[in-house]
Amino acid sequence: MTPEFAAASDPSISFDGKRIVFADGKRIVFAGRRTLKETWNVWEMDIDGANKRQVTRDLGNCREPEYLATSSITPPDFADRVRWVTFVSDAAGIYREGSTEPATSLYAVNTEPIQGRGTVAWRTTFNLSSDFSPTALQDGRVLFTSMQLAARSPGAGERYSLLAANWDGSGLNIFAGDAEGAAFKTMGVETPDRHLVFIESENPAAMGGQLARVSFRRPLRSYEPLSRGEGYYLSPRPLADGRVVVSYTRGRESYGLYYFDAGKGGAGARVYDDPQWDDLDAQAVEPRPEPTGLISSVVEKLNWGDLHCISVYDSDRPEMARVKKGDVKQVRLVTGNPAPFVGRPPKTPPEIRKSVLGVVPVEPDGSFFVRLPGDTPFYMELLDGQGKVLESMPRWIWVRRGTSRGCIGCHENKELAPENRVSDAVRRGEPHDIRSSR
Amino acid sequence: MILSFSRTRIRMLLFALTGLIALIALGSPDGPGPTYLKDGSKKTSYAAPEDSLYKSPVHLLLSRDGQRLFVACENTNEVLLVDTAEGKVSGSVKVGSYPFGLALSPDESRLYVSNRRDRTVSVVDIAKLAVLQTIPVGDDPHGLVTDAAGEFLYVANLYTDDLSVIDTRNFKEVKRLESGRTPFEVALAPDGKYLYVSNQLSMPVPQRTPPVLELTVVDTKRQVVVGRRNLFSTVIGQHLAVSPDNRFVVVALELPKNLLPETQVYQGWMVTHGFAVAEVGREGRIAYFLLDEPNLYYADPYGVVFSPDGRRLYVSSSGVDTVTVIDTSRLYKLLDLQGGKIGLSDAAIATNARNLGVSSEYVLARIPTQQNPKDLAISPDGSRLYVANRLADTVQVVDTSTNQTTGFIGLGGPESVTELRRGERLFNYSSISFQKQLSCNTCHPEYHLDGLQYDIVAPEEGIGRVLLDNRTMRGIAATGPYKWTGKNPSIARQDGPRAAQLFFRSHGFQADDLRAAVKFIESIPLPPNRYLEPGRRMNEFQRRGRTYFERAYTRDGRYIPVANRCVTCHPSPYFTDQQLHDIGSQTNIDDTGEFDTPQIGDVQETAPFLHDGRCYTLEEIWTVYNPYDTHGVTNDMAKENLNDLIEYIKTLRIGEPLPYKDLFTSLFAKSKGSPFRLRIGDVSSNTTPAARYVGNEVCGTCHTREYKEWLGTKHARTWVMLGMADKAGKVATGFKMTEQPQQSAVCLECHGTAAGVPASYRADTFHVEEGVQCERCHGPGEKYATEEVMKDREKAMSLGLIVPTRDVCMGCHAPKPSHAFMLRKPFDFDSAYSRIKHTHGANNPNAYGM
Repeated sequence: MTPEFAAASDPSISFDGKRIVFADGKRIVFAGRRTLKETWNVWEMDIDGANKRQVTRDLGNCREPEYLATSSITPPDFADRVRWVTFVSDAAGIYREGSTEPATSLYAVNTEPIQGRGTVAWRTTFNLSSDFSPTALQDGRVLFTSMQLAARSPGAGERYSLLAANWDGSGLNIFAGDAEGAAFKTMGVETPDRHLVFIESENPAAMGGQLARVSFRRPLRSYEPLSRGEGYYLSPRPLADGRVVVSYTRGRESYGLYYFDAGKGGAGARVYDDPQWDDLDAQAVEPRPEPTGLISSVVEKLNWGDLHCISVYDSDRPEMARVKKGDVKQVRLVTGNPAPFVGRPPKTPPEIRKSVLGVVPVEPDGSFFVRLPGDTPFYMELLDGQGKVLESMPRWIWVRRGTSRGCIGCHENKELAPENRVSDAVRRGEPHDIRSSR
Repeated sequence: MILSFSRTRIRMLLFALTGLIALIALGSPDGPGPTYLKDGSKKTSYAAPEDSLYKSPVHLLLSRDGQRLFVACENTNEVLLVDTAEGKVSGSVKVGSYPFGLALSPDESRLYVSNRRDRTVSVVDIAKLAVLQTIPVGDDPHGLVTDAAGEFLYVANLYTDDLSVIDTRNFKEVKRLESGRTPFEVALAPDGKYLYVSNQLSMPVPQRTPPVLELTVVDTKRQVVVGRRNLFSTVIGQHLAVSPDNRFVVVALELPKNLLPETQVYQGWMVTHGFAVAEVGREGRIAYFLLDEPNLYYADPYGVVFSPDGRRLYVSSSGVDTVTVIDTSRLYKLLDLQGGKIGLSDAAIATNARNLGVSSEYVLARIPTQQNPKDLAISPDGSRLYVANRLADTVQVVDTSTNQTTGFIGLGGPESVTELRRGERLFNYSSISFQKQLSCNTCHPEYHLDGLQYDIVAPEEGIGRVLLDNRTMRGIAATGPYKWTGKNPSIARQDGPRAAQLFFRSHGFQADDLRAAVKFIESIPLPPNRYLEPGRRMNEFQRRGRTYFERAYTRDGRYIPVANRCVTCHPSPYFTDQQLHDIGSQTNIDDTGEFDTPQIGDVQETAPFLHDGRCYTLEEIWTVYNPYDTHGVTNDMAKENLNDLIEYIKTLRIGEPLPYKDLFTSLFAKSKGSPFRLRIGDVSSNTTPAARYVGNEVCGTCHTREYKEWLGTKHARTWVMLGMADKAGKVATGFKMTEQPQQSAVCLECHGTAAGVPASYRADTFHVEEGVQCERCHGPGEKYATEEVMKDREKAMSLGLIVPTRDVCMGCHAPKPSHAFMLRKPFDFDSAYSRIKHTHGANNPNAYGM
C-alpha cells in the first residue's frame, strides 16, 4: 500500500461516521517517511492506498497516529467541528529526563481544515520524560503510556503509567494502577466489553511482553493477567465480535498474528504469519464505534490556567499518613527547564534545571487555589511551617491554557468522587497568582 | 399641546404595534412560534398530531395475583390495564390531567390515581373501569398509597409540600400533614405502621452548604408526622421502597457536587447517582451508595423495587436507559450490620457515598431498557420485572432469573417519533455528557429545577466567582437572554455549545438534535396556577397587591421612578423585560451587578430566589435583601402590604402580550398621581437653562423604542442606585456631604438630570428621580419637544435639541477617585455606547454625532 515510502508504520483506521456512531473505515492514517533521511510524518490515505496526503510538517518525528472523534476548539459556538488525530512526536526538542534520548510528547492535529485557520497542531502533553502509545477511548479521552522518574531523587529509576487525558491534553489523570502487574505497561486498547487490554513487561527494552487487562468498571482494582506460559506479545487489537488479535512470538521466530485464546491464556488460531517478517500492529478494517466527541476547553489566547485542590490531606500515599491536618502550610510548585536536544547523544543524561514557579499557602482545610502558567510542566511539594518538604509529587503534570483543573487531593484514592463542600480556598475567592513569580 | 399630539400618535402607533406584536406572538410566516391559550398557559405550534397520542407511561402497579398491571399514562390522561399473561393492553380508563401515582384499595376493587394538573385524585371502579369520584387534593399530587386497612389514602402534594389524608369511606380530605419540600413518592411499610415519603428538593439550607432531603415518616395509626430524617448532601429524591423484611427504606436520589467549582466532569465532579439505605422507623442511621462506576455514570435514578424475597433490589436509571440489579446480601455486608442495624462508622458512610468503585461489589447486572425507564414493578413470585419505558410507550418484561428482557408490551402510542418527542428523549438522555454523567433532566427534573446553586467555571471567569441559582425550564420560550448573566441570547446557544462547554464537557448536541431539543424546551409549559384559576377573578388581597406592583408613588407619597417599579421590569406576557439590571444584589464574588430579569410566572415554585439563591422565600427578597429600595420600592410597606404584593405575584402566569406603547401609557398615567417633588440640596446653582426640562415621559410618549431601550440601561437607574448606602453613602462621606446622595446636586450632576437648575425650570412632568434622562444629553425640551418641531430636525436643533458628542458622555464618565473603591472596570466608550445606542441611532449613524 505504501511502495513510495522507505518506511511506514503505525496505521489507524478511520471511524468516518459523520453522525452515525459506527463507521466503515474508509481512511488510514499512518506514520511514514519517503526516504530514510526524512523525518517521520503523519500521512493519510484511502483504505485502498490511494490519495495519500501529508498531515504533519515540521513537527519532528511524528509516530503512532490515532484517529480521534470529531471535535471543535473555537468558542462560543464551537462550529468548527472537524476530525482530529493524536500522534507522538519529539518536536519539543528536549532530552528525556534522566536519559540521553529525546523526549516524546503527544500532539493533536486536525485532518480536515478548520475554516479560517486551516490546520492547527497542538502539543497536548508536557511531560519532561516521554509520553507515547496513545489510543482513543470511547469516552473521548486519549489513553497513553507515560514514562516518568519513579521519584524526585538522583538515580531514581523510571516507571511507566497508563494515563488518560482529554484529547486536548486537559484533565490528565491516572487510568490504571502503577502498583499492580509489571512495571512497564503500554499498547493499551479498549475492548467492546469495556476492558483495557495492554502489554506489560518488567523490561521496557524487551521486544515484547505479556498480555493483561483491567476493567473500565474499576480500572484501579481489577488488574488481571491474561497470558500465561511462554512467548511474547505485542499490539493487541480488539475486534467487534469481542476477540482480540495479537502479534505473538514464542521467542526465536518472527512475530505472527494470532487470535488470543482467553481460555488457554495464550495465542490461539493463527491469522497470518510471514516467517520472514515480524507482523505487527494489525488493524481490523471493520466498523467500530466512534468515541464521544469532546469540545476543547483550551483557550489559546490565555497563557495561564487554574488549579484548585480540595484537600492536600486527602491522600492514599503512606507518607501522608503521618502528616496531620494543619501540618501543611504551603505548596511549592516546581517546573523543569530541560536541556535542548542537539542530536548527538551526550555521555550522561543532561540535567533538568528546576525552578520554583511559586509558593502558595495551603488553607486550614487543606485546600489551595493557584493561577499558574499554562502548558508548563510542574510538580508540587507540600511544605510545613518551616519550609520542610513533607511530601513530593513524583510526576510532572500541567494545566492547559485557559483551563481549570480540580484535584480532590494529593494522590487520593481515584475511586472517590469529591466531597460536596466549598473549600476554604474557593471561599476566599481569588487565586494565588504565580504567573509572573518565576 | 404636547399631550394632544401624543394621543394622536399613540392611536396610530397602537394599531401598528399591536399588530406587529400579535404577529410575533402568533408566529412568523416562515416558522412556528408561541401561541397563547385562554387559560394563560402557553403552547407552541411545534406539536404534531402524534404528540398528543404518545402514552408516556410513568407509573406501574400490579395486582396482588400479578395478573393485572395498571399503567398510568401521563400524556393521554388515562390508566391502561395490562393483562400480564397475555402481555397486552386489555382496557383503559380516562382519568384527570397528567396522571402520576397509582394505589389500590386492599380489596382491589378501587384504583386511586393522582392527577397532577387537575390537583385531584380519581377513584376508579376497577370492575367497570370507570371513574367513581374525583377528590380535590393539594397542588401537583404525585405518589399515593392507602394505609394497611385501606381506610385512609395518603397523597403527596408536590407543590404544596404536604400530604392529603383522605377518608376512603366518604372521599373527604380529613387532614393535611406537612412533608419535606416537594414530596414525591410514598411507601407503606410491610407492617403498615409507618409510611415513608421521599422528597424531591432540598429543605432550605444556608448558602454554600450541602442540600438536605427530608425523608418524612408518618405514623399511620395516629396520622401524624413522627420523623423528619435528613438525607445529607442529596437532592432529587424519587421513588422509594421498604425492604420486605421491614429493615430498610431505600430512596433513589442524586448526590450532587454543586458546591464545587465546575472545573470538570471526570471523577464524579458534577453529580453522582445512587440511593440511600435508611434504617426503618422514626429515626435511625442512613448510608448512601452509588450506582455509578469510575468511568461511567448511571444518571437520574428513579424507580426502586425489592424482589419479594428481598434478595434483589432493582433501580432504574432513567437517564441511561438501564435498570441496575443489586445483590442486597452484598450490599448489606458493606453496611457492617450489627444486630440488624448499620454498623459502619460515620466516616465510612461518608466515604461510601463518594465511592465510585464499590458498586462493582453489589451490582449484579445492568439491564438495557428502552427510552427513559421510570417506574418498576415486580411479579408476586419475583420472576418478572416490569419497566415503564416512558418515552418508548412500552412496558418491558424482564426474566429476573437471567436478567434478560423477554419482551415489550406495546401500549399503543404512535410508532413514529416526532421532533418534539425526539427532543424530549434528548433532554432526558445523559449520553450527551462526558461518561454519561448528566442529562438536562439531571438538574431540571420534571423540566423544572433542582433548587441548587452552581459555581460555573467559564473560561476567563475562573473558580469561585459568580454563584448562580439554577432556573426552571418551564415557560421560558421567548424569554431570552438566558442564564443569569444574560450571556446566551437563545436557548440554542444556552443548551447547545454553552452547555456542552461548561456542563456536559462533551461535544453537545448535533445540529439537528439541538433543534429538536430546543423545540422541546420551548414547548414546556408552566403548570396551572393554583392562586388564580382560569376564569376566576382576583381576590381582594391579590387586587391590592397588583396596585403595589404597578404603583408610581410610595405610601408616603414619594415618586417611584419608572425604572424602579415592579411592572416595568416584569411586564406581561412573560413578566420579564428581558433586560439585565443592577438591583443591588452584587456580592464580592460577582463580577457584575447586572443580572437577567427572570420571568416570574409561577415564581413561587422556583425557590430559592435571586441570582445566587440567597433567599428561600419571596418575602426575604424585600425584607432582607432590598435595604435601599433598589429592587423596587418596598421599605415603605407594612407586612400586610408586602403580603398583598406577594399574593398578586403568585397569580402571574404567561399572559397576553402587552404592547410597550400601552405599558408606557399606563406607567406615565400613574406618574401624574401626586404633586410630590424631590427636594434637592445645594440648589444654589445660578445656571439658567434656555428652556424648561419636560421629562423623559414626554419624549417616551412618541419615542417608544428609544424609551424602552433607555429603561434597559443603567442611565434609567442612576438615581435609584444612589440609594445604596454602602456605596453612594461612602462617596458622600468622602465629600463630607450633608445631604443624602439622592438629594445632592453634586451627585445628581451625573446621576440625574437638571438637578442643578432652579426648580422652576423643571416642568410638572419632570422627575429628577428618573435619573439620566433624554434631556441630560439632548438638552431641555420645552421648546422643541412638540410633534411639529420634531418633524423638522433643523428647527428642533435651533430650538435647543442637542446632538450629543462623545465629550458629553465623558463629562461624567471620566475616572473619579471618589469612586475608585468600587473597583469598576475602566470605562470603555465603544462598549458603553453600544449599550445605550438608540434605535434611531442604529439606523442613522450621524444621529448622535459619534
